[in-house]
Amino acid sequence: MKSKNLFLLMAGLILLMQTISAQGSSDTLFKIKGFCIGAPKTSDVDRFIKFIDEELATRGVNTLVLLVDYNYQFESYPQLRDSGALSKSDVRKMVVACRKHNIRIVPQINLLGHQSWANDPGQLMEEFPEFDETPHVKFPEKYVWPNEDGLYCKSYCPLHPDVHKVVFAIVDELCDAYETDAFHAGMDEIFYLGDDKCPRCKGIDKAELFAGEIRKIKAHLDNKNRELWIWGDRLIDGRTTGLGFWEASYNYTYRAIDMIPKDVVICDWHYERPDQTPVYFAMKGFRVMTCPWRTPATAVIQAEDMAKFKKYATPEMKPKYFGMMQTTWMDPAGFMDGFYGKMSEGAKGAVHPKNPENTPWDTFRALYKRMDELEKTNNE
Amino acid sequence: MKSKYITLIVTLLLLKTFSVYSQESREKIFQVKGFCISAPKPTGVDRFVKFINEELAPREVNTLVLLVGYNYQYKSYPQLRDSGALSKKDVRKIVAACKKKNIRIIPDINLIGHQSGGNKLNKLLTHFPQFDETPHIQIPEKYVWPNKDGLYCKSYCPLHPDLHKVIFAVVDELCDVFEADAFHAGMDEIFYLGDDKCPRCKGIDKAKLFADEVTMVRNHLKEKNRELWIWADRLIDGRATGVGFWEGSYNYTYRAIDMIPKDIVMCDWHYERPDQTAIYFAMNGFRVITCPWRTPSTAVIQTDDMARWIKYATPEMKPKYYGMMQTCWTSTEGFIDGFYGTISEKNQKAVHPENSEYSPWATFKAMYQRIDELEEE
Repeated sequence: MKSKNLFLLMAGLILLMQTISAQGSSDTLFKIKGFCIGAPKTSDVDRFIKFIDEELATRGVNTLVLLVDYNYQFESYPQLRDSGALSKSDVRKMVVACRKHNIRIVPQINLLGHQSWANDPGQLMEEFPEFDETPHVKFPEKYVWPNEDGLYCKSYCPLHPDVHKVVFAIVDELCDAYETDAFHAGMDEIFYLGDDKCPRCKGIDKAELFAGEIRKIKAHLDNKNRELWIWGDRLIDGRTTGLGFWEASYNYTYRAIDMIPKDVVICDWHYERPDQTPVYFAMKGFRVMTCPWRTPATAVIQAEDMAKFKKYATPEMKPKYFGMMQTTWMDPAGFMDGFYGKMSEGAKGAVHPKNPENTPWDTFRALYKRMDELEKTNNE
Repeated sequence: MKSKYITLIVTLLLLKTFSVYSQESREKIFQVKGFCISAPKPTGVDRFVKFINEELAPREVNTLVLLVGYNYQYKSYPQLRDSGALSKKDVRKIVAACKKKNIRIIPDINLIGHQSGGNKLNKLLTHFPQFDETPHIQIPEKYVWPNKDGLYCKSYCPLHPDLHKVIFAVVDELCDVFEADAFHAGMDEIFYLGDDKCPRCKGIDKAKLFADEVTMVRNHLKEKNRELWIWADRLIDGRATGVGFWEGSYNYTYRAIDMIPKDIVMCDWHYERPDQTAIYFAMNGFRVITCPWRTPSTAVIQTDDMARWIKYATPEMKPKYYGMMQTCWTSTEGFIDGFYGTISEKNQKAVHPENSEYSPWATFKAMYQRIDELEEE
């Protein structure tokens, strides 16, 4: 009887150890299994939580980048709230849901760029017009791209003496509400920077302006032991690589890659081609994840590439290949509609114009299926 | 009768077009199909020419980097000749053979580093000891690595005022005799640079010292429309990438990647792992060639990688992925012996210590077979 018990105990221990080691090694291929989406409207919070439970958790998503911006009832600067913004209790619900599934939330407010959209200034520019890097560029009545001002989005002036008091207050408030140890600052597609008419920025090296702002945000987050995440595009030379001015920089900010701390996490987005750019970031010492959008075939190759980069890397480089993150660039309601086969107005806009089968939800499914297969092979 | 002739002519023309087309489309994957080996001794020239005809040409090797150093009867500085160095006539034989097979020769003299090997100074520092970057470091009687001086190879001082007159004379002479439009300057594994005891270099940013010398060599070659090729290891951060101090730089020279002209061709050598470093060079705007040595399975993966990068690259990046080059790091004679199955003292050291099936010749065969398969597809 006694020896039987001992045998059972031993068998149990062996099983437990195997489970632990299997989990350990399955984590190693894609450290980040990410999903990035707009924060929901208040009315969609419950539906989104159901989606987290049923679709994100089941696929092993462990990181949720939530594009919040001003969709939160900030108390430090209530004038910055979007109308109908999320309450603390809405946020709390999502935090609880994610915690249950060990999903880390990384909230995002776009800093520096993306301070307007088409002819609509964002909340920050609306309430603090003095922060505008290019006040001389007026919003047109009807916005079209391209336009003579090169206006894609407004930027704030990173050297305005009052800007950081405001943005850091809301960054902190948001991170506190989401109980998070990492913040995503956006920092993508910045075309207005170091403008010739800006009395503070004109003439300053744009790489230094960009790097200086990153260092400032990083130092602020460091105080509370929070990580900084950014999109990687401004750190790539758009001309040399042929990646163009969206996916990469045409105004010399790319040199900032040598001027920022190496523990900033890089989200390297490429949607049409499986660019090999993660190697560049990893070799520069950064942790990097590849972020696809709506082309399933490309996302699958990108996942295979990430696995391959890691497989052949030196021990020093392996941990730099951080994982994969699906982006959606839409509101959760539209994404969930599309995901469950309902082509609502919200879903329609996200479909690839050249191929109706290429959508963020199809890409999400294909990407996670491939990641799962790769992890299984890796663990064999 | 007439129409039969026309049919024949049209058929021939079509065949010709197809063969041209198929050659062109085959060439599209790898612009450089390279082979890098020491220049032979005068007694080995005929055998080497035979090897070019029978083994390099059929595999469509189009680039031959020849490690010459002082193995040539220089006229500008005769004291720099190795004993038993190649004559002009020897070189002409090699040039003629390569010309016939459309193989571009790129001769190599090691600049900056590799000015000694083991306990032996090379010709430059033997005859111009004043060019030594570290004259205070004595060459030991019995050389061992590692040693307390960190002496791997001596370097010349790139800031010595008389240096470039000498080295540019031999570089020009060598390029002239090989009728070359490109020169390989080595520039690998430089550990001695900007030494604290060098009255000219001390305190100067090592990346700048390295970049300035590379740029000066490049500009000199440019005057005669010649290209500069170098080994790429000094431009990789050895610590951050974990590739170490041989394959990467441990003394900050890696920052020189942002300080040198983009038309320098990078020979990116990695022998054990299929490192993805070529992407880094291409993204920095350089043409880059991956160079394996003696691990066939690694070379095959590296070849697949190069083809894959080209496939998915933007039009701007595609031409930067320049191709593949087999390296040997053994004497010409030793390599040819090994290639035809003879292992002797001449080539034993080139065999991988952990696996006797791994050798430069086995790698050469495997890599070119894979190149052929990929271009066939």
